[in-house]
Amino acid sequence: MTLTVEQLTKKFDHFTAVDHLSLEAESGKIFGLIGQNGAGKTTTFRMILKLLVPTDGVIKWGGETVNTLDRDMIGYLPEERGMYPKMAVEDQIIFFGRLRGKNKRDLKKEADYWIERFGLSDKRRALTETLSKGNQQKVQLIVSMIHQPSLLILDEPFSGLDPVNAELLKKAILELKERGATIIFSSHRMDHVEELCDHLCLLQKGKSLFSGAIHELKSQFGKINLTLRGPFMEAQLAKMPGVLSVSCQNDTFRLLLSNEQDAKTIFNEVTKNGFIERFSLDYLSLEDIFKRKVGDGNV
Amino acid sequence: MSKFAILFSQSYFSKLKAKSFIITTLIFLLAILALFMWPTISSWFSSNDRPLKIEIVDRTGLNAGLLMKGNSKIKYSLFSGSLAQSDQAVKDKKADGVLLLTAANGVQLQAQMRTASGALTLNDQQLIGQQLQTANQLFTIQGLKLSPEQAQRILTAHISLEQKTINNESNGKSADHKTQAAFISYGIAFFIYLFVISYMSMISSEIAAEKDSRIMEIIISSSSPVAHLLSRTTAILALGFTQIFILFGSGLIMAYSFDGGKYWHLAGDAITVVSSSYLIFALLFFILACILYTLLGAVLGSLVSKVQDVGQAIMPVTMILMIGFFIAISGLGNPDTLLIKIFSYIPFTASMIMPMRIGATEMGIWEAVLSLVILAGTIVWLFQFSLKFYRGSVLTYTSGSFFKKMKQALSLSK
Repeated sequence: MTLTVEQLTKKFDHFTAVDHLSLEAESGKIFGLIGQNGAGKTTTFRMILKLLVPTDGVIKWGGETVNTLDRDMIGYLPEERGMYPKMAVEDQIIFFGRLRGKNKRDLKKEADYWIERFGLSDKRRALTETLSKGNQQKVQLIVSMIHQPSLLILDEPFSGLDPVNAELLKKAILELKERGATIIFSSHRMDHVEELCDHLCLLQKGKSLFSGAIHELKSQFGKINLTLRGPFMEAQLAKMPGVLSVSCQNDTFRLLLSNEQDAKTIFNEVTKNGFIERFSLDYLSLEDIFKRKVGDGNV
Repeated sequence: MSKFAILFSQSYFSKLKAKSFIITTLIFLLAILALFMWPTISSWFSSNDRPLKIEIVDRTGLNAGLLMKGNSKIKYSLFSGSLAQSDQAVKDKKADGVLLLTAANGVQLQAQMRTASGALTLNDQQLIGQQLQTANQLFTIQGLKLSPEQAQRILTAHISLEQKTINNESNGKSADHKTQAAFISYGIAFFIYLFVISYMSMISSEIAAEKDSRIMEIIISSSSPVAHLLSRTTAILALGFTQIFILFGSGLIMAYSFDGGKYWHLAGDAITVVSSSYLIFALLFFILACILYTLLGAVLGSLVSKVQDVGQAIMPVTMILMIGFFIAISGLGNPDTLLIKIFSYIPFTASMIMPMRIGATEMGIWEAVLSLVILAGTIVWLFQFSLKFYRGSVLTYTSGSFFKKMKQALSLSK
């Protein structure tokens, strides 16, 4: 089902943490909430989870306005991880699963599957405090989805994971998406967002800068990201029409164009002497878009 | 199973199985056992003790030495030789001491205890002093030339002061009754003190630990803040009552089985001293005090961000508790002071002091009921406040002052 948030606002005394935020996360799709620290991501999640009462705005589930979402259908991975240090991994998973209204037998089966999947089989009876940070994170993730939630909220799921485990996590998220869950997650890592999300929302100081499909956002800017490799001088490239900036990394040049159309002129210019190794025209990366949108450039 | 039940059983059983709980319970049980076994234990060490042997050198010429009556601990015998000879007997360790009796002017008995240094304990000295006192009374009566019957009447004469209140039908409490009730009440106050000191920090630490490790967010998003607060407070109360039940149960079993049930009767006597209404009030005050302080512990625990700050946060409550306890101690001597009257109405100390007033002073039953109502009202208010407050406080991680945290917690729970 679709989660819709309309004009959601949260004020603390004189400070507005979330300002008339609207977004729509569809089932079987992944929605990314992106913003700097303090942009209001966690506050938004907490309002959806009913940990905080919104100052204003409505939350709809499947088109119907709800006061409180059924807690048993939500899976939540908080930004700060938390588990009982003296509880065994398996017990921990089953305890939190029972707290989401599932019975022990079903949970056991599901827990076996995920423990296997995340390569934690030998840690089944280990106390959580003895696990490495990455492994704790995996257990925490299993906890958040053990009850097969229809709405999964992941606050910074990738922080602290090595590339191998991040890949495992991505696959798990995609599997849940296949099962039809509505997934919302926040991240600083734009590459993950770009890879996983169908829709996203850019948040700055509680306000939405953009909310919609990722390709819509990209086509707003057009293909202005040009990469070149060949026998060129940086100064020579900078003088070409429509080039806003040039940066050189090793032997590869990155050009930022003011307009997609300028690429053709540049192509003719750089190939007039024949063969060049590389000419590729792309959309801006999400990271660049984010920096441009947010303005001050520190993600 | 409801979410409350899941949270409750997780909290209760994890603490019940904790080593700290098992060990403290065992230590308390050993202490109770030692209490009951004490006469037996002390007899092991004192079984070789022979009674003190005191030689009496009677220089009164009136046979006053015959009036000294010994007991199982002290044996007196009349020494026939000279004082120097008797002193030599002490030096030769044939006797523990010499009691020299003389009579000034033929009527005034005078006594002198002659021993090697360090031969007598304080207890022995006091005992000999008492026996000498009795002997002196007999000596004086003899001097008055009374008949043995007359002497006996003087010695056994005893009067007890019966208390009769004239404005209602029941009799007032006798001084003995009051003293006993004051001691029992003091016991109750001590018990509350012990219970609250150990269990309040337990609940504060538990909640602070859950907050510190950020489990809180998952728990309250899967159940609710209310379910969490209720499950934690009831689990701690249940744990406390479990411990009390174990200790009391084993205490009663021991009382029944040791020394042919001697202590069992003693307990029975103690209960008959106090009225059943007193018992009901004391129990109510005890239970309410436990609830009040557990709830307070939960609220304070939810305010701090780190477990190590718990001690600091519950310090003021511990202070209040100590004040209550010391006032209860002062009540042992005199339970009728204004101080006790005032603090018997303050909800945080009422449960330690009001039982003493009920048992050991003359007061209307309405006063106890009023204090109980104030206490119950405070609990209800605190409960409602914490429900409102808890949602915000468990998500507050500021490091500011207590009031800053309170303010932020309240604004978050709006």
